Amino acid sequence: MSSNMIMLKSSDGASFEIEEAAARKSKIIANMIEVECVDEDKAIPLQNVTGNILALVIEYCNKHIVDDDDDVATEEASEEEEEAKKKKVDDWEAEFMNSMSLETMFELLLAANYLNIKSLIDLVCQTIANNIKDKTPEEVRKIFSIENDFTPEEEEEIRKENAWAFG
Amino acid sequence: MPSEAGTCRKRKRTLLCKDRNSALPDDLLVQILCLVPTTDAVTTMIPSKRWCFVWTMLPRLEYTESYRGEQSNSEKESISQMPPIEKSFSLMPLVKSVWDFLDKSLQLQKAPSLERLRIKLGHQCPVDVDLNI
Repeated sequence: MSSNMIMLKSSDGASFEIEEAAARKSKIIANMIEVECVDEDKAIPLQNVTGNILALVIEYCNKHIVDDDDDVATEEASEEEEEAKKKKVDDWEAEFMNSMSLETMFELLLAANYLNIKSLIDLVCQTIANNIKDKTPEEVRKIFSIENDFTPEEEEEIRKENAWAFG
Repeated sequence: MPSEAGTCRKRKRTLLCKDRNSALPDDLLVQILCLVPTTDAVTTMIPSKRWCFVWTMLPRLEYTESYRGEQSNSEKESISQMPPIEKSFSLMPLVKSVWDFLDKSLQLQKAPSLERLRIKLGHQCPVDVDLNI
């Protein structure tokens, strides 16, 4: 595994050192490395990601690069071992997502989208979706702090016209 | 019929994004709504004008019909073991058939392409449903 280190700089000026292999989880950064846009002595500026969110992104990438290495090393692992490993990753991801507020989740999703880290986008989307399941519109509004910009008359009209949806 | 969802879409661009997940681009909101049962996704037309149209862009729809009038114990048990996406339909009051839901919601669909449409039939289903596809 390459042990090259890369520097990332958040929008609020915080610098982070990350292994190249972990940074490659981001397709944007991987592309920059491919076309040799990355200067070893210079941090990559990430204008759309704050330091606290970048720290979470890096935590995720570091965790998953270790897991990916395991995949290569244990190609002959038994099915049981594979399952145990998958469960370990799932547990880690569940705890990782549990540790943050919904507001942080949205910021993390935007960052993952900007950096193009597909597996992280999928994970955050699934977690947010779990918060919407089986919820009434009022609950969704409350959970996500959505401002209701319908007038009571407009909302009534939509509910009436779409009564089929609220059986 | 001029759809509410269509009206909402026209308004979209002029809206300020004050709530936090309204800052998410449409494709991410659609990705999130793809992961909830279609019935739940449709009810997200209510929270705000921003959300009003998002569900109409879903590329994957799943509809499950279940006739609740004659549920046996084993059927009830099987419902309790269903994945949430099927369970939510099975637990819908079956005063109105899911076919009504299917018919109305498909009329409002605006997704450029439908990747998957899954319809699971129950004991009773009408033979004259027009899917408008």
